[in-house]
Amino acid sequence: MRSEVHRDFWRLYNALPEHIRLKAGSQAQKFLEDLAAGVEFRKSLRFKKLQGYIDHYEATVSMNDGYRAVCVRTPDSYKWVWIGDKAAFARKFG
Amino acid sequence: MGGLSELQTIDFQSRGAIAEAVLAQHASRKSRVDDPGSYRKTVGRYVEWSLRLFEVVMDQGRYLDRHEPVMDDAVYEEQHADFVDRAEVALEFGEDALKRVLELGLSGDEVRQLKEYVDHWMMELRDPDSFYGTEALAAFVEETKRAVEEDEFVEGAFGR
Repeated sequence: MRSEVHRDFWRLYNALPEHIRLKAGSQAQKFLEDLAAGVEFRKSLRFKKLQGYIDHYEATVSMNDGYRAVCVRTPDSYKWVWIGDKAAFARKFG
Repeated sequence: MGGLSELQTIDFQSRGAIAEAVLAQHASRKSRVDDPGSYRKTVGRYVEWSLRLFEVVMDQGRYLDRHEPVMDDAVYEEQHADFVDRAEVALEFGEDALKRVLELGLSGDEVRQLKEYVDHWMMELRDPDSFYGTEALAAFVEETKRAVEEDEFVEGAFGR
């Protein structure tokens, strides 16, 4: 499995507070390590399917601050498409 | 990382706050019928302790975020699991306290803060649909399908 990122994701990422970007980088590193090792994603990533959707998953960036990243799973890759907090989600989609 | 003593302090505060919250909960149940005035007062105290529980959880989360870069992975995972357990406990008390507060019609800054905490941790721990299960997400899903079909991605992960 590969991990890929959409260009719009980086726009959202670059607008995040610095401490959240650092945290996202750290969480992403863990995700990539587990993906490369072919093991179950560690629990602190809280990687799970979005309820009600077949191929969309979320990973926790920071539970305390309510930040998440969202990806689409295809047969051979995870494609990261969104990152932000609850308020950012409401602004974008509300 | 110099954090062990800090962590022990957090543990102590957490246990103390939980014990107080349990006491407050029992007291409130007993006095509800016997002494409504006392019950209101106890519920107010229950709110205070529930807030303190959430604040301990938030402190622990901030501690983990700060120290994660220098923590051993296994230690971090263990501490994170403990953090989630405590958040569950705080949410359990917070939900109960909020329910009692709303029954009494109480309001104010503490009640507003408690509701914010309960909503936040409900979303984090129990109800992802409250965050993502919207009509807007359906449009988002359609957009991501299009991006996948057109292969608009480059190698990487969220933040790397």
